Amino acid sequence: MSTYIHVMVTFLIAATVAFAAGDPKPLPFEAAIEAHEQGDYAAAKTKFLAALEINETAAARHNLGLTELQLDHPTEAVWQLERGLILDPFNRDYRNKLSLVRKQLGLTASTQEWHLLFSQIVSLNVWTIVATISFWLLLAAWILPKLSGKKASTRIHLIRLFNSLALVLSLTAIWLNLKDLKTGIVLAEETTALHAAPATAAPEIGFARPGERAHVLDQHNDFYQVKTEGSATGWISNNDFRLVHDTTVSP
Amino acid sequence: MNVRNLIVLLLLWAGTCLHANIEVLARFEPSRIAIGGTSKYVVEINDSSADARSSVEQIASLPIPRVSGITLRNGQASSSQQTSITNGIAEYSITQQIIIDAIPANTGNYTVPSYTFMYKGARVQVPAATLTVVERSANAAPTTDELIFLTLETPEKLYVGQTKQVTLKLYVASNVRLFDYGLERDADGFITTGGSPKEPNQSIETANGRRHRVYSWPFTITPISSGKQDLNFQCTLIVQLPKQRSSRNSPFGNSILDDLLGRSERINVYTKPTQVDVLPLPKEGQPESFSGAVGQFNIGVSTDTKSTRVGEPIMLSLKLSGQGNFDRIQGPKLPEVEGWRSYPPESVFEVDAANELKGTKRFDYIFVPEKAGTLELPEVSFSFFDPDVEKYVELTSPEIAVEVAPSNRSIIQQPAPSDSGTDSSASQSVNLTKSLEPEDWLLTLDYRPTEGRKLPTGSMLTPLFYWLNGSLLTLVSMTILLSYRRRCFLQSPHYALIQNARQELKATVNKTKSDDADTFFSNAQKVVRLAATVRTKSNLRAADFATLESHFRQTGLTETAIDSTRTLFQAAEAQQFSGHHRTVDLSESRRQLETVLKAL
Repeated sequence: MSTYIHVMVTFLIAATVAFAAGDPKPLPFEAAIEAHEQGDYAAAKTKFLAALEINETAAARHNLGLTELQLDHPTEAVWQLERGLILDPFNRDYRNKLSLVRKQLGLTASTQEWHLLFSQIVSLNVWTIVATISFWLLLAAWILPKLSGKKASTRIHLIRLFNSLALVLSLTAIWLNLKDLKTGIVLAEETTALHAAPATAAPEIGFARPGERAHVLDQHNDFYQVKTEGSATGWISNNDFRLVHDTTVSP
Repeated sequence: MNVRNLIVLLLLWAGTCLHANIEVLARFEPSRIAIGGTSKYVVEINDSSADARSSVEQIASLPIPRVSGITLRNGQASSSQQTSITNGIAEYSITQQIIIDAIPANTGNYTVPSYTFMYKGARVQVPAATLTVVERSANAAPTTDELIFLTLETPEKLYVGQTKQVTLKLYVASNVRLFDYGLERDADGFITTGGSPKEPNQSIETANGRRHRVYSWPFTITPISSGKQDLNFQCTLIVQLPKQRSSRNSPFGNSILDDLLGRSERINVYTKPTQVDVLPLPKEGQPESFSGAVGQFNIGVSTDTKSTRVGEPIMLSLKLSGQGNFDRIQGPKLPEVEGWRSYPPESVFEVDAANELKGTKRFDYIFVPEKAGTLELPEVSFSFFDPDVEKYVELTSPEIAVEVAPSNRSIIQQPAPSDSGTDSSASQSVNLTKSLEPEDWLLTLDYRPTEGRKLPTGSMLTPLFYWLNGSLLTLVSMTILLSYRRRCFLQSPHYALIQNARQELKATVNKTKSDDADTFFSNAQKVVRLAATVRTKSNLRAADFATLESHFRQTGLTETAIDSTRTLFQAAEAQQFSGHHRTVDLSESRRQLETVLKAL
């Protein structure tokens, strides 16, 4: 028995020593930061992308945005910073940097309106749960007193009021979140034309500036119909435009 | 045939093969036209040879002598090959045609004299050709120039860099069928933009008493050098003219065939030879800020904020609105101002939909304050040349004061150098913090990869959504149902009676399974009364058989069920009034009870 214990202890010690003696490679996120600080932005970009493959964090998006900026890809930087702000909407540092990059592109500063920030307090799923529960509770609070033939008590009134409020707020937040899903960034490095129809041969009816935000109105094949911040409306190729919430995009 | 004759024949054949005959013809087609019409000067070179390998020598130009009173232009070349076999001997010929538009100025005879040119190393002679131009008769058919013509309204003078919108119009008479067209321009001294050849504006106009379809191409011209500059346009059309249709009319219906097949001809129309007097911009009075803007403009200057912090950029926007050569206007260079760091501007041009020369061009300058206090952004000067008043105009915006607060940006610790050689007291006096410049700030990474908000997938219809709604729907439905029943129970005695009877019935039915005759019969009667109460919805809990029977008949119960009830009640009464416990066979009574309950 003692021999068996001795062998087991020896094995565990050997395994622990072997594990500790190994040269563990740094995680992609840390490796990317190291490459960025050494000025190797191309390597930093590759490693931040690898980090995003593992886990999409706001910091990785933000850092990748700053790396893209150093690689002279300002519109890609804007997209990454916008994506980072979706993941961490209350990060003032990210927002200020986004404003600075946008200003360098000749765009207005990035300001987030209070109602949009409010809608991003929790995720769309949470808002959906809040709306669902509020709806059913409100329904119950209206129907049950009527069925029981009793006069609604103060407590029932409060439940109705609270749930009405919760329902209105959650539905508004859901609407804002869904609207935000259709926001994208003009990725073209130069001012790009907006066409009257979803074809490059179609007449040009406006222009979209690099890094400009635009709201998608429609989609047809490889074209989005967008309305830009500058109120220009037209069709733009998906090569020059990418949704911020695009889940199909590689990190 | 002897050998000598054979040799002679072979020599004759070889001589024929080697012999190449070049024949040159010249003519006007038609050779007689009315004034206002157009003829074509055709030079035809027939190169016939027995050598099949003979090739065409393309003629690039002809030394045609100048003939006063007639304009020859727009030459085109074409060639064709023919092969003819006569008595087994093949002859190959190549015909090359040079066709040149001939436009006479007046009536008379115009003769292009004979001249020579080099062709395949040999000098060939072109014979003379004569064109006769006569007066038009009063009832003559309209000429091609009257049916199809090209116009361009141009200003007499322009300044270098001045952009002007002009419209090229092609008039095609309504009885002319237009199949295709192509535009060419001779405007080397201008930059022309717009006027997509395949997207003209179309309208109907009456010109010279005739209805025309008008194809218009609006475009802009900007002269790039001074002096007299040619501005001419040519349009090549493939059309079917009305005279062509009528001339081919025949009893065999050729005209219909022509209409169906669309037989057409190629013609060229030209704008009247136009020269624009392009003036240089005057040197006198030219402001320093002038950068080539020509037109009429207004400026507006604004900032996106009136206050900022050190290191936080603000944007100064210069908005130029008006009419002129916006594409040549660069953002004016702003002077360096102490306390500000500035960057070259980005520009955005929003063109007026109705007039592409009108619009608004905005230049956005980024300024980064380097110190706190009340700083002034520099004044902006913009000058342009107004061609209407032929003077330079300089517009200046005032300086804009901006309140700059100290920076509140994150600060970084500067590590103290370990080998600096300074003592500790000296190093304590060094400011160990500094504000980050925007460039540095944009290099500052986030080192904390915390989990962020979950990205929405775009659909609310998740399994959780369905599960939650299903559960809550069930819960609320059950609560409503229970609440409704409770209300009915409390408010309706009739409902309460039925419900109570139903519940009591379930409990009593179990008691009838007893083998004790007293228990069985007393509960059997109770069961029948409760079942009758539930069925008839009347209180029959204490009813005797007669009452039950009347209710059973009212509800249409079968005679078998009524008889079974009667027998059951009689047996129960016999058991009840016998005064002692009897042991009886209950199987028949159970069957009767079962019959009654099934019927109820």
